[in-house]
Amino acid sequence: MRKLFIPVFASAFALGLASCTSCSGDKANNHKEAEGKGGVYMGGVMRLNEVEAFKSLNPIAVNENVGFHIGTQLFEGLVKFNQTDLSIEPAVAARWESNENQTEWTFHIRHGIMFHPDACFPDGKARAVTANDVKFCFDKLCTSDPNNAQFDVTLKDRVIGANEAFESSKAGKNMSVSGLKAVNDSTLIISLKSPFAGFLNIMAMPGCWIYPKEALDKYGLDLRIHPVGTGPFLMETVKEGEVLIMKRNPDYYGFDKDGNKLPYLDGIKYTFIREKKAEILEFKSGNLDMVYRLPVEIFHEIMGDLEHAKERKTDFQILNSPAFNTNYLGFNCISSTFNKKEVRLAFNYAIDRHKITDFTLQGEGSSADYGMVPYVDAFEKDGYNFKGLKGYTFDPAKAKELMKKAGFPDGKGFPKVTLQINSGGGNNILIAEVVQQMLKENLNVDVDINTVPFAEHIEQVQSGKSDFFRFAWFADYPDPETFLTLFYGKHVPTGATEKSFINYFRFKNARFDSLFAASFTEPDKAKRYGLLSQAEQVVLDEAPFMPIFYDENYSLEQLNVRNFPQNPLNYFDLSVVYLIPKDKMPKK
Amino acid sequence: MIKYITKKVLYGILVLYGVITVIFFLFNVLPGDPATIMLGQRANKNAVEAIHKDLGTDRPIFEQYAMYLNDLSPLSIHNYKNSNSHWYLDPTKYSWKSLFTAGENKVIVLKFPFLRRSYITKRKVSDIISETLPETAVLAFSSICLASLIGIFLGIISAVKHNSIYDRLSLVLAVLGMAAPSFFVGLIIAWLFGYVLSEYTGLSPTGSLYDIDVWDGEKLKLKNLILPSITLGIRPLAIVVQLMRSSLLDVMGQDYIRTAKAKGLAMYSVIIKHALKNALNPVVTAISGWFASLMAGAVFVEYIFSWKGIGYEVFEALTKNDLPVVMGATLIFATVFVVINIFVDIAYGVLDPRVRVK
Repeated sequence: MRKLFIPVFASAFALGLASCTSCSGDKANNHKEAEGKGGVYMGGVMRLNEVEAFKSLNPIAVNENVGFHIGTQLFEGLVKFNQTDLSIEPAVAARWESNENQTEWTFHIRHGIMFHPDACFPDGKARAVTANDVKFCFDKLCTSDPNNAQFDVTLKDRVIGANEAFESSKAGKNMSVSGLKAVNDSTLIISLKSPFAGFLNIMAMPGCWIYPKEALDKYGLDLRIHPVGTGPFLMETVKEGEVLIMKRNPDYYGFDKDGNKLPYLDGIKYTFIREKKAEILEFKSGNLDMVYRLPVEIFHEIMGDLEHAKERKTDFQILNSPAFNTNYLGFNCISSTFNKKEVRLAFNYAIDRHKITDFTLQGEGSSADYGMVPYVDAFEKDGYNFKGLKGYTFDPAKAKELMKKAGFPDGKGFPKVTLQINSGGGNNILIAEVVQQMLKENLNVDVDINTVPFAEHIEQVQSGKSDFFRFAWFADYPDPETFLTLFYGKHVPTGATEKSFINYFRFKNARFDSLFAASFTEPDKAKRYGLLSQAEQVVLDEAPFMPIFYDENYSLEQLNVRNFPQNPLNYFDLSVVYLIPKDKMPKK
Repeated sequence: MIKYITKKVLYGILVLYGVITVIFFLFNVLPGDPATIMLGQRANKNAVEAIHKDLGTDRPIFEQYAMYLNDLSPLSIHNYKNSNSHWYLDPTKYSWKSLFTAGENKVIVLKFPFLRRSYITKRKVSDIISETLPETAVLAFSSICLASLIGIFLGIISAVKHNSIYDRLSLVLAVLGMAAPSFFVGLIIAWLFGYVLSEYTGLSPTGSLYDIDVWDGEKLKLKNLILPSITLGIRPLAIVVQLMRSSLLDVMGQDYIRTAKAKGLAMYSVIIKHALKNALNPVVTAISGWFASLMAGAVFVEYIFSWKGIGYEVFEALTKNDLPVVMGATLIFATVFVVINIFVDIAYGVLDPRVRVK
């Protein structure tokens, strides 16, 4: 009896384990894809992952990537971006025109465009969108609200009456924005204070997504998880931080060039696996269809497969594109340590950016040879003079000379500096250590590295308590202006201890401000980009920051995913993505 | 017994009050403005001011403390007329029963404690806890069951086969279990059994207790419990094995055990009927302590396996200075500790009459 005890117990345990492995197993997609016209496939569920939970799906509160990615499938603005080239496409508005000096824009609402069916409507039935809905949403955008993170980057200082409406709402008196007029159910006129060439980009931003008043009245604060939009997908289920399921919007207006109704997919399933390596494992196991932002530690392992990918030996596709994202180190230009331009320039010339990208980042990113605006060929084609910019090369001799000129020959007398970085990013500490080493070698300057949580980091930098800090800036929309606004003097407060939002460098330069402001009112895109590149040269001459590298977007997709390109904004439009059924895939 | 439990409960309430006070003031000393954290790099003066006004963080610190206590307390005082006041009896926040009025526009109510909303997401803290705590509880319970059952069994074997190869092997495994960092072990287990051998195990590297299938809806996925439970259970298992072994060896050396053996009882009866009950005392203490600490959330394990428990939520809230979430979760943990301590005291009495509460 005693001798049997151990094997019997072990068998029972193993049986229990085996039975558990087979209980409640997840079935594969039961809904078969059907072939559409033109070689596409209708149906299937796209399985995606985000490593952070979304904060809010209330359009005016969306201020982070995850909300942006998810919200793009549920909502649309008057216009939206094309996923391939980020050009502007009609969305809620079928067409638009402007007056000669581009200060008045008339949008014609698409006939028959419907909100998603929702309990906020009588009997839960979908209803058509009108110009009054757009007016309501834009008036709300110009109202002071603790959830409103989008006013400053959208209609503020641009639309007539927007600022006044906002200020009035702060005093508790809501008023309509005078520059927004719903002429009738299908026509909205937006009047601008001055022409703004990037206006249509603003109209595609989350703050300008359209939602019904009924949803806000019914859900209030909980609108954050009860999105009601006009997008190609509607919200089916959400378990915050765990899973989010969207299904095809049957009333979506879109058709492709062959007449297939969009979206192609039946649905999207988002999970929120936080650990990046676990996410990659799930992708490799075939449980996710796409992953993006690969961790640098496994980058080489994945990219090593690129050679095989070209010969179709690998099990996934690798896509990449430059990103609208610049990683930099900033200076507090009014601090005693960095108030001399020569010191800031010396720091810039003492860094070998190519070494950082080639070795520290193992090729994930390109060295920041220009300025804050990353090189994008679309910008260059539109007139941004990248080639004319004099950026920072690696020139230790010049760096030493500049330090000498500043009164610190060979670093003598230069105070010890603390480089403050935020925790949580694998690259941050690696780059900081390399920069620390390069500054010591080339300038004989001692740099300490202080790692703090992001919350504390941003607080300290805004309050001017950190003289030398790390950040990355992601573009809000595809325009150089969104990068250069970081240097606009208007953002800088008068007091040295007051918080400086956006312009963390506390950089104020009259010439830069004048060129930047002139770009607001220049209607010609090429001339406008010319002004902005001139403004950037002013920044480069004054060196309020050290650009380190421009990020690149890498994503992995399963071999059966189609029409899901990578773009610099990391903008996902899943209405045009389709999945080839596994049995229809060409044999390897 | 009633008196004893009442005393313990009152003491527990005092503990909770101390926890609230310490955490509240600690948070206000820590750097980090919730408004800036919510808005990130896109923060601007207008939005920051609006958030401070909404959260009441522009009020003096002791007023904020009083407002917080008022929200948490089942018995509270509110203004029922002025909807702009932070003391307003807001029906979207509270469910209450009015007791009596106090002054012109104030009322004292009995209400369910309001744990407020997350600063970052505006999600109700009570919703966050009610969704994540059961998942942590299940994970903690299954880990401790696994650790206890296997640990007690292996501990008995080690004690009975004292100084044999089994005994030495269990010692080595116990040391490894204690030494191996859970993050590293978790990654290895997830990779090995959830990816490399997934074809044979049928397991995946991540998952929670429930999964929502697009077509079939919410389904219980017990298999997702296996790998995180094993990872989380390794350390308590190691402790239980060693404790069980040493405790049983100690008891087996007692006179009454010698008497039982001399009477001709089978070893099985001697161990299970006579020795084990007494040897389990320290093991129960260790298991209860581990269970309580596992309930506080196995942050790393939840992170690696993407198990939607409370541990990782609290970790995230701490990094983002999300005071309501941290406060709500800490209060729950403190309550769990207090309750478990009461149960352990009662369990002692059941197991060993010598320490039964008079």
